Amino acid sequence: MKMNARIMTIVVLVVLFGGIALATALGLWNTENTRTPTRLEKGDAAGEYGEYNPEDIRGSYTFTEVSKFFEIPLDELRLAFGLPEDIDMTVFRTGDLESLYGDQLSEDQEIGNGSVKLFVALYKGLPFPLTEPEYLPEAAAEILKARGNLDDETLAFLDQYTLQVTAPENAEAVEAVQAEAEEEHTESGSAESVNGNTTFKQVLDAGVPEERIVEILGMEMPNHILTVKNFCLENGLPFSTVKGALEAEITGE
Amino acid sequence: MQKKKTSKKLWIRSAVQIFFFGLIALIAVNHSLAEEGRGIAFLSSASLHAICPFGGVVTLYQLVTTGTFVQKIHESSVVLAGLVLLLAILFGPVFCGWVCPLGTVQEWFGKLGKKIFRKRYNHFIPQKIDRVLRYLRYLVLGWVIYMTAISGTLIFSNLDPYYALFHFWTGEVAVTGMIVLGVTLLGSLVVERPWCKYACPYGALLGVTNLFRVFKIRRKESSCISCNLCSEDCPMNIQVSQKKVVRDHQCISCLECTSEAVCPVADTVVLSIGEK
Repeated sequence: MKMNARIMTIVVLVVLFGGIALATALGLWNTENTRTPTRLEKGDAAGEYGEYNPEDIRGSYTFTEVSKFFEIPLDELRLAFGLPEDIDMTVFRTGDLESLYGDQLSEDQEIGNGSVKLFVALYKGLPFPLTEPEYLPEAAAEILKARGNLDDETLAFLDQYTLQVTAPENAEAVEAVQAEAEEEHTESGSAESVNGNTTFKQVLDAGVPEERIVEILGMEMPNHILTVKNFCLENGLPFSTVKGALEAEITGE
Repeated sequence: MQKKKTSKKLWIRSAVQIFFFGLIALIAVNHSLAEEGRGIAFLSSASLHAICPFGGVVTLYQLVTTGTFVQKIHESSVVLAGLVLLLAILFGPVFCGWVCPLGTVQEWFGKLGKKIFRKRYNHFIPQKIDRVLRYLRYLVLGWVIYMTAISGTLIFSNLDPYYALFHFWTGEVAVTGMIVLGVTLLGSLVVERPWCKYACPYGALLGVTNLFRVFKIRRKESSCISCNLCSEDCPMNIQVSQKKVVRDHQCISCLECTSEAVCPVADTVVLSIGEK
């Protein structure tokens, strides 16, 4: 049987686009990481089973996504983190906060994705470990206190880790601050951060011994090609704590 | 014997190549726009990695051993890898000859090279050396799969000219990737499809299907007039005129050698299943 170019073209197009259509119908056509946070499991907190887990808020989430997933009014988030009125919340990511307050923070202080996790958890009354320093702007702490659902331990934690900071006054100023931070980051050639894409292989390559990783995880050394984040999520470990410990090992602090 | 008046290029292949080049270019641009919140709604804004079938190949080891994907790779890459493999089993590496935008760009540069060097074009490298170099891409394939398996990262993206071609404006492309793209495009001025011939790991993998593909390119000796046009026009320098069935691992199923294109005798070089 002979096959001419026209028929072959039709077969090629049908197989490619038909295959994609079929995969889409079967839910197999995913072109990006799932952007839905994991949900709290049984035993995480009484009565909160099935809620989205604030610990799984990623630095790539926009504030609009956080608002949608956790049903927190966007204006409340804007106010809490001092974001200018004209900033596009569908684009501005929680991880972008890290560069927002520039030189108002000391070296051991950070307002970033971790701060959003803390704010969301306390706002919604969801579980969150108060074991590591996690800083919030004063406005965020005031909003949480005004809701009146915090216990004494949490109030004390907030008092200890609340910072008086001022965000840039408009979107243009935010962009300028971010550009400056990006430039500094590039110049310093920093490779010291552990993010959602970092694998154990990269942590090992950064000079952290395997024994130390095992110690931090409290588990056997995982497959090197796994990302730290996925491993933590699958094994119920707090990613922020593991990330902090690994970063400290990498920087030698 | 029915002889055609003129031989011609397959216009339908050029149309398909332009379509896929345009589609991938638009998606790549839209991905950049979407990151700035200005994406075009009706067009996919998927990353280039998500729509590259080779990503589905390099992630297989990790998918099987840990159930996860290599960084930046998603289910879509595995789906595409499966579809392209199905096409390759049917028609050989038709993806290379008809769909891959990097192959298309090399051909466009090659047209310029043909105008400059005329008959010498695509015949600069001595056959002995060329024959050995053709196996280099299997080393690249082995290296990429091994390094991806042990690192869990897309090691190859820093060298990948395909990624560089559709991301050169983003500042995300490694210098090495830009260099490989530059060498590939310059090389295309003297050799047809140099990346495909000597370095492409995906082409190496798909090329294996030439050994057992369902539809093969066959030359009917009884009607062949030995004009040698099929061999001369083959972008991969395969001596089609000396074979009854093309099983060369370098064939890209472009069909330019067939009686629908350069072969001047009807029904003499054809894509077929079985003897006829």
